[in-house]
Amino acid sequence: MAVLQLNQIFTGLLSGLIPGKLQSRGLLEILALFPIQHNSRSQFVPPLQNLKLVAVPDYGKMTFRNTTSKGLLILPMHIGFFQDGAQNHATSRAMVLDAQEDLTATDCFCIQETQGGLLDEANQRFIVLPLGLRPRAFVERDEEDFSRLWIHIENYTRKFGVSKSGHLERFIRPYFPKLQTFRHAFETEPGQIGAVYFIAGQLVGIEVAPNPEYWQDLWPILLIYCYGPEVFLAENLQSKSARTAMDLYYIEDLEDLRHELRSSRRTDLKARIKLVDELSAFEWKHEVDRIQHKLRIVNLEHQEWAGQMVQKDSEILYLSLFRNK
Amino acid sequence: MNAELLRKYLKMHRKHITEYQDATVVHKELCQSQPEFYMELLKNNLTHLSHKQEIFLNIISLSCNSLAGPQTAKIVTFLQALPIEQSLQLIDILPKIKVNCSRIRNLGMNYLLGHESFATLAATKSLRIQRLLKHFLGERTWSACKRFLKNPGTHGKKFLHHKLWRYANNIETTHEALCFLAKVPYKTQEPLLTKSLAARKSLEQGKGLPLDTLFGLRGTLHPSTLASKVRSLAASISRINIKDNPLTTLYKEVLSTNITQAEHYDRLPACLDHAVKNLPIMDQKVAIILDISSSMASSGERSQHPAGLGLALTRILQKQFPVTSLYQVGGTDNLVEAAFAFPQGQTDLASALLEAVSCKPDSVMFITDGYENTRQGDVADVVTGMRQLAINTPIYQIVPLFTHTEDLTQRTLSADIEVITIAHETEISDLFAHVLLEQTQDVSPDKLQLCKQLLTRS
Repeated sequence: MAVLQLNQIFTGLLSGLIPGKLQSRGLLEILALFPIQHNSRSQFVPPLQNLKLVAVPDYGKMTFRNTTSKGLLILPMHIGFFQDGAQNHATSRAMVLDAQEDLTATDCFCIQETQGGLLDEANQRFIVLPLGLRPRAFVERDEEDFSRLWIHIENYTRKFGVSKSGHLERFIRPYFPKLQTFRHAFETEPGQIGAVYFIAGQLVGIEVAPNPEYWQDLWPILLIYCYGPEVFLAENLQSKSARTAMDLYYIEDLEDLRHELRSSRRTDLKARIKLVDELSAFEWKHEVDRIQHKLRIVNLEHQEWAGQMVQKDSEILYLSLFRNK
Repeated sequence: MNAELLRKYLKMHRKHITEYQDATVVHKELCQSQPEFYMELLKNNLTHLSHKQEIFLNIISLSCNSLAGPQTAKIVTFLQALPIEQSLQLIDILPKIKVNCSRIRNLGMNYLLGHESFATLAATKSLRIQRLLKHFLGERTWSACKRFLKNPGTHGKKFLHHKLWRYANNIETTHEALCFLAKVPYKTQEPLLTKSLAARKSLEQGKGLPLDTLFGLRGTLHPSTLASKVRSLAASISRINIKDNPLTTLYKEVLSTNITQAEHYDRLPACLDHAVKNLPIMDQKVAIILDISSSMASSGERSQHPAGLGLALTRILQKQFPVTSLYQVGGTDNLVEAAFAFPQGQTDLASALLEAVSCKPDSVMFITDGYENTRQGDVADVVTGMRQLAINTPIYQIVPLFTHTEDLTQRTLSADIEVITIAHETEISDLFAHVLLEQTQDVSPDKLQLCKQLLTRS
């Protein structure tokens, strides 16, 4: 189980959560999040095994099914599906599906501009839109023009030197081997239900799942498709790592070295927790987007931040917050 | 023998020779001081081809220029004992650098025509063999040979005997193979030659020949045949170039199924005994830092490979180094008490290193995939600090790999740590050789013999 670091319990938006260890690799740092009190919330099923794409009735529309016989499925925000020979699609918001329920979302995005054809029924893995596209996808939710993200995809993929037009797969396919290394470089702890993401020391996203099983499904997808690409962009911009290097000038024995290691780690952890704490304490603009199965899907906005959460009363079950840089 | 020389060689032998500035000097000195031992290094499967070619050239140049080195017949026998592809890769260097004195010709012809698989070589690698024959005999002599193979006559028979048959292991088979290479009509008994000959007329008749051979024939004689058709005709080869050794197999089996059964515990001692066969018991005190964090589980076709191999290597080291201390990073169970542990948790290698060096071991061995994340760079800083405190304990990073082609540029813990990649548990002998040569000035004959055993163990 998580070790409570610096006795910190978040207040405000993230109340009920405590930070775990900070992991870092290159420019990306991830702070684990744990619930204060263990609650299995077993009524919420993990998405990979239980989400089925049933049909794409028309461009911009997707029908999903929660295949489990018992339990609610929270569909994460901005998930996308790739298939050969069909127009790839992505969702624009979080949704909640009851057991065996079919739900059609009519405000989805096409993410493969010049490809014709509709996606087939499939129990397949999904992606999450890259961080750089998510603020735009959030703004464009609830509209029914399936082509509305193409221009933003084009602008985004151009930053990676990928040929123009609104084709997300033209960026993901060649970069996939590099993106996949993030999945191996970071790890989850038992009981972990979320994480905070920092790139070059800047807080860029917070993700929370209803339970550890759900998080196990979601975290590699977020790392590979959502936050990984942003790291490449930061590297291209020659951003510097925010890691506090160990000061070896005064060490005289192994004990000093051990102390220096702990101290530099603590400095980093403290600084990152402070950023999260400040963000959590913001006066967030709440707006209930819709209520599904007695759960509230709430839009959150504050300055350059946006996202959605799924709430039961005041309890956060799912949260996805991202920064518009 | 100077241990430093051997240490330098061990450090570089898996990478391309051009990556090290003084590589050729090291090779020359090794060759001069221990030519017999030096030649044996060709048997190491992990050595990079560029080093093998350098060894080969040094050996034959020593043989040509002095009586000290191994004689031609010995080199030929040695080459013929190596796997065909490996020995051909060595011989290939001779035309490339245009070496062709009489001794080289003698060596090359003895190797080729004296090879018991010469007919197979001719049938499957005909262009390569023709190029070598042309080089060793000279273009005009090879032309004359072809002419005389067609119409021998008395003079021709003498000529062929002098130029070819005296090198042959089996004159009849060699005759068939040479006629095949010279495109001289001849009734062949060798099934592969017959098949290859038939494939010249129709590619379908070459069904079962190696893929490269079929693609070669397609390029020259059947350019309109589809590549997919060629692939379907080729002898099937496994795409997965890995076959785990028993101990790794056992660990992977347990980790993949997530279940430990009595049968697994029963099999463990026998698998471990098999794994340590021919490995010496070492008297050094080592600290093993085993990373069994989540990333060691890996995914896809590599699933559980790093963890399984890592556990196997740990057990081998524990058995052969009686004085070991184990520091475990991550994992579900404590491996001091339990036989198995499943990957879990984060990778805090720096704290484990500090703990390990405080017990003053002779060497520290990290067994890790190199995905340090608490925090990346901490191990490098700790090692810098250790060196600053004059703690010069040798440290190794042993990376359990699925294939040696994996890119490790982002996965090395520190520039001051020697990285040893291992894809099969048998390759651990390379690490033993490193440890054997630690803190030694001179290598005694006994140690040299042991080192040879370790470096040529398969």
